[in-house]
Amino acid sequence: MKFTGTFVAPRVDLAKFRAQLHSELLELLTRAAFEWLEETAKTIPQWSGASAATFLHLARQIGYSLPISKASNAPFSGESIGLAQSKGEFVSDPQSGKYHFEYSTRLTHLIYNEFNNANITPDEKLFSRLLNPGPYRFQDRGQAAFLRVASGVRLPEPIYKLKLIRVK
Amino acid sequence: MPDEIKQVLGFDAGPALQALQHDSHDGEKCGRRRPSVAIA
Repeated sequence: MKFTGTFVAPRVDLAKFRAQLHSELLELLTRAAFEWLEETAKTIPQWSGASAATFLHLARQIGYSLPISKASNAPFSGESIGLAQSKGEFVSDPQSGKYHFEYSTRLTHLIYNEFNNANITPDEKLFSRLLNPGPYRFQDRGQAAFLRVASGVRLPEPIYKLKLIRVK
Repeated sequence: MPDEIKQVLGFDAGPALQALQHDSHDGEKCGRRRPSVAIA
């Protein structure tokens, strides 16, 4: 009896791997952004709500619930101001394998309180006495939360495309 | 004080993808890799 066969070594199916990578990294990025928001949002006290509202662009993209509340002694709701003075977005490029989220704000009093205790070193243009003064350092806290998620991230297993052995 | 605060956080799987492409004909080299973490 005579047997003949063909063996082809396994090869990675890069197209399938890229598709799986895209799906998994988007999910991981969403989780990382969720943790970033959890950490940053709880760091920022709400009065008019303007500062917290700067996180809304990002929160809405991932379905994160971030209630904005105006204190009873605040003269106006700052939600629209916070939204107008900030950006937040997800950026993904499956071809290059780069996935990130961005947050930015130009809200002056939030930037001041991020780095300063306004009750000790007040900015004359901005100053009013704060119940919860800074420095907030919410960027450092957010980055630490992101790194906690990132430390456990692994790329998906490569998918091998195997050809069948044909035996006559 | 800066005029703007900007934080960019994410993952870069580019180097791992390139390495995988390079090694794709050698199944033994294709283990699981980690993406690098991008922070700006």
